[in-house]
Amino acid sequence: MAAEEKLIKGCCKGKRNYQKQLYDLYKQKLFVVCLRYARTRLDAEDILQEAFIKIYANLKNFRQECPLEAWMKRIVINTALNHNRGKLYQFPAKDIDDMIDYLPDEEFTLSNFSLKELLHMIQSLPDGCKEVFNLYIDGFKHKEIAEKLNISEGTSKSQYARAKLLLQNMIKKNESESYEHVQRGSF
Amino acid sequence: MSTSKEDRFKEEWQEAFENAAAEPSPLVWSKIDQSLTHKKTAGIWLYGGASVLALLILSAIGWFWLGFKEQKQTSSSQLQNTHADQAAIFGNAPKENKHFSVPKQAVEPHRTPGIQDKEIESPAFQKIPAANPKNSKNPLSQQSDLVLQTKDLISQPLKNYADSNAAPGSNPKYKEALENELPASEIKNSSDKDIQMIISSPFQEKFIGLVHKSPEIKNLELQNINSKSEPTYWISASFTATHYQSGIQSNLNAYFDEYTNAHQLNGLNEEAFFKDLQEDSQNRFSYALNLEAGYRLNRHLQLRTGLQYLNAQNLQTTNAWFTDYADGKKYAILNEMTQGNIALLHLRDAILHHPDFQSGSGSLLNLSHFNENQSISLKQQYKFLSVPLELGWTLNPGRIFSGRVALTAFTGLSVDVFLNSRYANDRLANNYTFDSETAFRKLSLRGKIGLQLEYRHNAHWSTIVEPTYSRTLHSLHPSSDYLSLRPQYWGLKMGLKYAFF
Repeated sequence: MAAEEKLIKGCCKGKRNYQKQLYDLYKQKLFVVCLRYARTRLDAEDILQEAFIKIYANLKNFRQECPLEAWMKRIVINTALNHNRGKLYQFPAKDIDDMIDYLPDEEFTLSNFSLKELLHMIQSLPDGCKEVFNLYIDGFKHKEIAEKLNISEGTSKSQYARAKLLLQNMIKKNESESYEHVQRGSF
Repeated sequence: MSTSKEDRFKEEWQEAFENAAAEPSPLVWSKIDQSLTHKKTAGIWLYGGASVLALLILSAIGWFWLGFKEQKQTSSSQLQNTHADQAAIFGNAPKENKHFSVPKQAVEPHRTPGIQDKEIESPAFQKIPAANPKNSKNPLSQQSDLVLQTKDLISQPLKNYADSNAAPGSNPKYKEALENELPASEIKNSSDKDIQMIISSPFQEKFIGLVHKSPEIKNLELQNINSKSEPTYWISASFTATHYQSGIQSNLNAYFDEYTNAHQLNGLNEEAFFKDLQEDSQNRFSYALNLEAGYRLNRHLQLRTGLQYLNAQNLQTTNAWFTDYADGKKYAILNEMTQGNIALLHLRDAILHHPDFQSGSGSLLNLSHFNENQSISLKQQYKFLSVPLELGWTLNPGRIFSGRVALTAFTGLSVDVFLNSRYANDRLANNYTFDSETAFRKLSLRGKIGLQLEYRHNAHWSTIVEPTYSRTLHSLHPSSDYLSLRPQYWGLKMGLKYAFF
């Protein structure tokens, strides 16, 4: 904790070696967050860069009421949302109840998938429901998501349900493809 | 679906990403480092420049104010000395007079030796006492009256005498003075009004010369007249039709070096590697709305400030690309230079939305389906709110068409506050709007010059026409070393001006 405080103080003073240390410490974890929200790796790098500049500029306002990583992650998420603003497709006005009816009621696991495959699945989602899904798994409630994205709570729920449906379909498809691949390979 | 299943799905994804890590490109830190350095330097320049500008303006105002104060004191002192000189000429200065009193201390201590000596020797001064030796009970009193009346005639030529009810030729003071300078036929039957007319004519110069031979005093009096015809404050409202150029400048060599170093690519031929950014800019309708106020510091110099709303847009095309010899494909160089440079970000998105675009692997965009000569067009729009501060120099105060036309050269700086930027092309479904600080500088400085032609309809109202040119002094966004955006604006300002006296 003392090392973290020292790091924060150094960054606040604008010392480049401390800023680099902070970057090295958190870049990999935060980059995954960026990759989830971005459409491409290049976009993710842009978001990471923009977010770190904001982090350095606002670090003096960090009151240590929450862990530094959580605070930084929040900035990364906000930067990503801002970065994607205007690029979101129109949210389809589909009712939540209709979506729930289609949800498959199957057990699943993600442990068989690599990070690259998981990211690919999320990045394949339409922009609107991708934002909602990412925010939801980052711990935001539907009400908070609605406020952040300037949509209704119902839309947030329906977009999450849509994302869930699409992801489950992708998981199922990938599982069957890999099964076929294994089958072909074995013979 | 039950809540537990909902949570299970969420938890599964949260766990999957809990300890996930991915390595970003080494270029990211390099760009952060550059942005931090640039921000620091830009801040110093911006605030330093603004401080110097404020200091210069304050110094200029202070200098002119002190100059005026000094000039005013000199004027007052010289007039007092003139009266004292008059008293000295006629030997005995009266202590009090019904028209004016000469202060005691003004008679001796405030005399200007140069002026006094010169005027005592002047034959013109010697004529005055000779003009009325018979009728004058108190020659000094008569001459003092004459000095005062003449001064009144200079500064208020039509005020006191036009409405005079006096009988023709009834004022002995003027008559006596004129008898020495005009033939009797010209004075005969003349009224005070006639005399006033004569004094307003070229004779005025001669007549004044009888009393005030000092050119310094004469200049002060003339300056007094002219200063009354120049307005002190003014306001104006105008519209500027503007031609806008984005002013993109690229330094692809530096980018190439950094890119190849970061990716450990050696032995690549720089010239064959990339084609330089070929950018073309076509003007779209751009304009500015101006509300300005000005203060005239003297006959030539004036200070102008106000508020300007600037809406600039253009159509930009580019066909920049580079070849990656690793796979022999062409890549849009724009995609590699995006961060911190919104112009490229625009173009990258234009590429992303191109119907021929196919997403490639990794961080580079595969443009193998692009014709290398194919260009991408993008409409850009920028909005600013500006506060200009300019100094103007009037080249011809009151010299053309009886002072109706004035030509003033302006130069100064403008602080531009970025509002937002929109861009679109034919292929994009949505127009994108940027208003974040990171995309563009919130504040930028712009240098301005202009030549204003002003036509005065009457004492208060004027029409103004002003060709203008301005250029942003630094890149509009926190750019890298590779690329900068310094827009230029050519404009024609047209508007109305109202002057206060």
